[in-house]
Amino acid sequence: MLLVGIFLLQSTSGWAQERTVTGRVVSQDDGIGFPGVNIVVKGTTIGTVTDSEGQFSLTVPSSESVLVFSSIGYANAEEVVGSRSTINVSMMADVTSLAEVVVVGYGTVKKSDVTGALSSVTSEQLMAVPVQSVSQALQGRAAGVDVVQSGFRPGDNPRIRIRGNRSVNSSNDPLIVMDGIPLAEGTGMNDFNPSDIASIEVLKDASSTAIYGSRGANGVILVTTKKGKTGKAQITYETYVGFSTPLAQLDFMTGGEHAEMRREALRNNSGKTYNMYWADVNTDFANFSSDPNVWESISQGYTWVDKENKIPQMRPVTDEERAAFEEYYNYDLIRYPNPSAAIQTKIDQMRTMLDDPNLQIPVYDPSKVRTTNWVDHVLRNGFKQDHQLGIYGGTDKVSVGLSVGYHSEDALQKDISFQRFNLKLNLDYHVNDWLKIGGSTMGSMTINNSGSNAYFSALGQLPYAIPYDPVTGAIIRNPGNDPLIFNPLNDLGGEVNEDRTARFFGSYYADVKLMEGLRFRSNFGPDFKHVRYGDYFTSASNERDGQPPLARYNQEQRFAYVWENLLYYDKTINTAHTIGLTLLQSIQDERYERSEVTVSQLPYDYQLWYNLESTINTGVDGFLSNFNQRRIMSFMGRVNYGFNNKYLFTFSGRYDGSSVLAPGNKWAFFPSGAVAWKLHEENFMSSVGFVDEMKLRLGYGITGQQSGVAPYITQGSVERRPYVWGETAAWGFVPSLLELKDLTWEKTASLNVGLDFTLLKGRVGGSFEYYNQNTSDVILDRTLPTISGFNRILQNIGKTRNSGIELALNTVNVETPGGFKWEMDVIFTRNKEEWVETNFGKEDNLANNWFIGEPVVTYFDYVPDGVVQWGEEADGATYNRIVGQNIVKDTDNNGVINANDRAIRGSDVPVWSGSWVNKFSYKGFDFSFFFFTRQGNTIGSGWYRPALAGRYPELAFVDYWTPTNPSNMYPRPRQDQERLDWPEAYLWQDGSFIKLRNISLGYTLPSTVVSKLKMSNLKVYVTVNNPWLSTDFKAGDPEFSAGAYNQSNLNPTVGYNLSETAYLFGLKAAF
Amino acid sequence: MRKINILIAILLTGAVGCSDFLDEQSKETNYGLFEDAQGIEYLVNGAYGFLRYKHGGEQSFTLWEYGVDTYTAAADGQHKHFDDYGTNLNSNAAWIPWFWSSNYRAINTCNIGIEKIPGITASSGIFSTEAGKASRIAELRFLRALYHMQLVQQFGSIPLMLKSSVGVQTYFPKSTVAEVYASIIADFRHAESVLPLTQSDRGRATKGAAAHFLAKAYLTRASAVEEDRGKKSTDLDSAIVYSEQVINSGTYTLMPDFKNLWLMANETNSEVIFAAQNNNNLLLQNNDLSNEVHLFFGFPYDNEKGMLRDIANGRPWRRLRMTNHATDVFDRKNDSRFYKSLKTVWFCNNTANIPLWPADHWDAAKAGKKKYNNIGDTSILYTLHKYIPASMKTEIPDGFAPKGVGNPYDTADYIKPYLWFYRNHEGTDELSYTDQRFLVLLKHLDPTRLTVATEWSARDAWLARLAETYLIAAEAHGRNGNFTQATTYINILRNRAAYKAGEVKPFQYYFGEGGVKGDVTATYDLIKLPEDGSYWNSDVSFEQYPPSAGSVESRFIHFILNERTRELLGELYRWEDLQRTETLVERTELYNTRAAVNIQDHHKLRPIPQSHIDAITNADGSPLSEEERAQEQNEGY
Repeated sequence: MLLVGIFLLQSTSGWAQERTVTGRVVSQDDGIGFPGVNIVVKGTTIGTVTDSEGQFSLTVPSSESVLVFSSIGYANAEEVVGSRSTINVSMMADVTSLAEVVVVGYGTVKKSDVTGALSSVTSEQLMAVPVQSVSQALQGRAAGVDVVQSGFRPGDNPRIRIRGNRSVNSSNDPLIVMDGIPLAEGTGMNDFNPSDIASIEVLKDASSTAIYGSRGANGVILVTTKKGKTGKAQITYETYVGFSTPLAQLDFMTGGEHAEMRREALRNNSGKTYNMYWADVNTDFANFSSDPNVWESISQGYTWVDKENKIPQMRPVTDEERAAFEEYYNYDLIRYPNPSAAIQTKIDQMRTMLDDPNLQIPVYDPSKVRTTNWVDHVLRNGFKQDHQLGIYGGTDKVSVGLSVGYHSEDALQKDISFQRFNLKLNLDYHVNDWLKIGGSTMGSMTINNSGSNAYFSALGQLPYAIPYDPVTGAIIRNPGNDPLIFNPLNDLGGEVNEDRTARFFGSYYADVKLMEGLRFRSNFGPDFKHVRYGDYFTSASNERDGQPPLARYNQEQRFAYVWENLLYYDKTINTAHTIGLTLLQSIQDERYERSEVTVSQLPYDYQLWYNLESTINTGVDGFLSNFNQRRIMSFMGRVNYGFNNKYLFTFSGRYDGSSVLAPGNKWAFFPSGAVAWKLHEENFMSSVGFVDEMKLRLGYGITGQQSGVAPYITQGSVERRPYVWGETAAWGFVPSLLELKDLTWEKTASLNVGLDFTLLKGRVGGSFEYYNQNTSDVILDRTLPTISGFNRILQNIGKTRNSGIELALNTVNVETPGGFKWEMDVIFTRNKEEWVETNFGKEDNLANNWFIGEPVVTYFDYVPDGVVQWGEEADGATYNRIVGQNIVKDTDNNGVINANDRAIRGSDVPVWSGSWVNKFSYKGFDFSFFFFTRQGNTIGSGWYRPALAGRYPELAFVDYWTPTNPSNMYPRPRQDQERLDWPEAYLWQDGSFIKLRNISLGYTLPSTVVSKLKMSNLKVYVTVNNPWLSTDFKAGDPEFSAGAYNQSNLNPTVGYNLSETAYLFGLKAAF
Repeated sequence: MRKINILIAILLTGAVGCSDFLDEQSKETNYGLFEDAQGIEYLVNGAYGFLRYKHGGEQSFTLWEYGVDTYTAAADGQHKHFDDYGTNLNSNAAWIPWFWSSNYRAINTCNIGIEKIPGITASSGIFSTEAGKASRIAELRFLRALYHMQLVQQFGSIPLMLKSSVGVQTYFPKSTVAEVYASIIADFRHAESVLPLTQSDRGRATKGAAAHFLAKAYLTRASAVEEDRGKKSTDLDSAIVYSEQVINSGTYTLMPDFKNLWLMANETNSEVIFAAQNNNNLLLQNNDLSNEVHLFFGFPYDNEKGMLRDIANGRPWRRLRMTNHATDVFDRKNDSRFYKSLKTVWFCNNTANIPLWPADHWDAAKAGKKKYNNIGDTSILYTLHKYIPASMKTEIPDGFAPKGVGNPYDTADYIKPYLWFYRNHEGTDELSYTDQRFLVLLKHLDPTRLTVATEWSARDAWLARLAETYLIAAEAHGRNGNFTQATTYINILRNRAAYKAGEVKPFQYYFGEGGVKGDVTATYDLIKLPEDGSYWNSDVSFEQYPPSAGSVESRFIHFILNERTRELLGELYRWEDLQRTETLVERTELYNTRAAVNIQDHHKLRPIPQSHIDAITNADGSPLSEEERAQEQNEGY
């Protein structure tokens, strides 16, 4: 409203000409009439300003006249008058300006009036990179928001963290509020269509999230969907198609390299099985022929005189080789200090051979050994397509938005695919001057074939084994005849894992104007989600390995609703004081139920899980059902006060009760306060010419957490264990969890200081934040000594802190009159996450790996210290190690390696992360690229923990010690070990990376051409997602979060960690 | 104002009736379950359930059969460091914390029952009488002692838990080994005095079971050499009293034929004193705790020609194989227990894949033909000897083909119809037996498994059988110097072990072991110990006594260990036997070549789980210092 005054001063009155044009200007945000918009006939001084209803009337010189509509904070709009006499215009907010209107909790404000730390992402930014899910679209777009892949299956939900982790047991997922309705924990936003999103606001500090009280501790993501607009109806069609290829393939040892590693492992085992120091035909045959196809691969390395009778071409050894073999011999003397008679015989045999001046060895070239690229057998080119159709329009009374979408992906692995159908209808109806009702209804159906483990299984194949029997063409069940290595091809088609998710989500409201300035609003948001998981394993699948087929049918149903009642009161006193009051009462209910049945011995495969009663078994293999419900009840009040449009204050308090907490501890109060100071409104700033706008913010607030508390857990739990007396069932129940009588809210108190600015006439804009969040009463899943009969308990103990800085900068680097523009967005986030107190106060808790000053998830393990080298025998002997064996650091230097030598090895939290976006536009062309980086996080990778037993495949970077290769990385292979000594020590690796997230080229056709096509806009583009990755990590894509420390998660290639480069061709049309 | 009224009405609707909105209505079971008789009965069942742990997975051989003199690691498995005592056998090694946790959780369950039962009232059923309650308490004390005993044997000094956990507890001071044994004996004595001779529920603890374990506990205490177990001068007498009480109770008798012990039909028989119960109902198994021992002793017969994996032959996970010592400590010729414990022949079950004679075979009638034709024909054969007596050449089963005159091919493929694995007895190492090929223990196999791939077995997991009671009694007498009585008990087992008159002996009897074909005479006289107890007066090379065994007493102990091998091979007693007799390091070093390199004195105990040391605190709740943590750990780890 204040802006109106400013623009009125600039208004000029038009004079009479040939034609008069009338119309109405509305704001795209709310469809409400936009007062004070400046309208000028291009190239003239003719102009006017809209009235309080957004209406205007202007006389123009000719039909060629172009009207330019402008208002600070909004993008200029241009309209050719043509033959029209009525021109309605919808003004779109300009992203880079502080004057933008943004969504905050329970309302909207002008960005210039925001008092909290908030990142806003526009639809334009979201759609710049074609993505499958809403959360992917957020990546690198908002400072302080860390989005990482949790897996690369098309249906996997990326993990979102706002300003780090603060909870251990509770979720660190932010609260997602969809069109005003908080979503139930764990339901995610990926069932929604990214194309339906108008904007996303991320609330980061407590002063803005505290109004969400209990659920705001991890930040809040406010998602606003597109709505119908008053004015001319708009029809949009957007599509892209494309294909994808793997981004970070694993590089394995070739057949020849692996064969040599196996030989080394056999040379070094307790039986000294491979006595020859070189590749020897008969010894090879003894060790590589249990699968004849493997022998064929190995034999290709030899030059044969008579292959049938295993007579190779021989040649004399070189002096160099002889010296190397002597090293091998010397090693044997160390390796077998007290040899058995059999070993002694073998050693003597080698001595005799080496003493022969005419020693001959076979002609052998390891590079000729056949290598199978197993991954090629299970992968294909991925394929994606996406279609979106939208219709938006409305009248004064009613506005409507309808969108339908279809997204489909065939992933790189042959049996993984994903499909999603979306439908959304949005309706707003001004019933009369005091009542407005409306809402949006979204429906989606996803079909997710999550596929088998074929890719991972392919990675586990021996390079010199082959998949198909060369004679019969049949799939070889155990390639290499290793009973533990199963052919991945059995699973393609042998295993079906299909989830079907149906989701219905609605957000409905009634808005009642009670009197001037007083408004009542009731929001109701039902959210229904049904998931059916179906698994089918044929008899041929590796899971069943010849047993009769098995099917599993699992259904999950969630119904959540939120009902909120709000009172708003706005009042301006003497133009200097603006007061806004918000009162809220809300309830939230999440209900979950599930059932599952597993049946085997199904007589035919094509039924999948749809005809389980056809089993020829006498019963089911298993069944279960469960139920839970959690509820939250809240009361909230908020006061906004502004003085002279310079000083803005916000205070809020929220009182929340949660059903899952212990009786007596269910309720907590969460207050917050913030102040903002618009420096540019001060007189002393008027002399600082380069500053357009500048605002300083300070906020403090408390938020809560209870999401990690499962329903009913406070009552303790017992576990059923089956037992029998003879043949009679004897069910046993034993305690499994202690009662939690004291469990209460985890609380985070945060302080935030922020500065928002626009400089140099809008050329530079951005914000800077500093924050310090202290979480206390952390709900901890504390490890108990199991001797007590219990292994863990949830308790409110300990304190964590997250502090950091965030910088978001957008600049217009170049803007020429010729129309060339170079814009740049930079986002930088540095967050320090740390334990302040554990349950032991200022001391570490080793049982849980909680270390004061270190992040919540910290890896604690032995530290590899290379390999004992020739000449280091004495050092090795101290620790009972011999040359060629690996060793870990004796960190306390006491001559013994034990649990006290473990040390901190890193954390899954990056030290800093950032993104850098460049956009170039010229005439209709635009070109952009987008880099994303995370630096300093540690990941645990099983590929760095090789078995080195010669039995399983290893990555090419695995450089192992041999008597002639003084590697300091890994020890000499040994066949009779399953893993290296201290295997876990080798897991921890730096996960830093830089990714070119996206590179895109687009062309928007000129309006002259477009209008001939009866279109209002047409853009074509080509884009590549993730074309380039730079990292020192050698075992796949490091952009992967294994989450909390978990043995089964250690290997980032377990499952489907296969990221892709996608090449997409798209089109955006509007009518 | 009308609008305001509507508003107030809506707000009131929201607020009224919400006073119980946050109360939880659980559909799950919780602690309230243990407040009545039915619930306590569930709890008691639950306390028994932990008995399944020992046989419930790879812990079975890892903790009880790896790293000993009789068995060693075969090709597969992730826990070979328990066999070779390598670096990875440390306080974080798998099974160490899991075994610890399972047993202590079991103990806590027992303690809850022991504390709650006196307060339970019921109008009918076992908890309606004081005698009934006392009986259940005695069962729980029996179980508590058993779980403590498993722990103390592996870990040495441990915290003794005689009260249930209340709230969060983190202070657990260790008790001495002597205190732990004293408590174990007190619990078993109580159980022995209260429990009935028989129980209508198969698998419940009885007086006999308590007496057996009581005798074993006394014997264990008395076996101490260096370790302070609180040995009392009366311990051996007590062991004798209770073991003889079992032997003479009339409740238990030895199965007449050793072979029949292992038939599934006999999983419950007069010899079984106590067993963890299993059956074949999928819903009554829990996959992590059901009898899986049958998986571990097999060799991969299913990779060989003429064979496919079937239920009867089992899933061969090839986790462990016999040592030479164990193989040779049997009188394989006359003591039937060797061939009745081991599977040496596999019969063809897959005619689709029968091997062929080489096409260039010198016998034209054979060249390129199938080596055999039918299901049931011998497909794989294990013998102990490569060279067989010349006189036996024509006696070889299934048409062993003699080497052809002038035949240049002296390779196996040309002369045997079946796959023949032999042990090269002339060398010190096995040449033909490998980590993938070895004699298979048949004691745990279960041909009643539901499917080929089923990992759990319906077989009851025996924890005590009468033959062991005899061995306990014999050992106690021998340790007491009464070698005649010891001999008497040993000979009762030897009598059963011998071939009976008229019994057809296995072909190995004459095929390599030196017998004569068709000989059906009894062999008892050949394996009977001299009744005067003089067997231990001198060295017997067959017994492979260690160099240290220079006295009668010492030879007797090593003999008992050998006899336990012969009787109880692979029945998951071995590590405890060696630990109990403090011969683990000596014997393992001598007879287990994989372990010999690494085993050290400290390996006589397992490391205390690091997760335990890291989680406990001092009495005041403060964490342990580095020194205190070291103090909690067993020496050497």
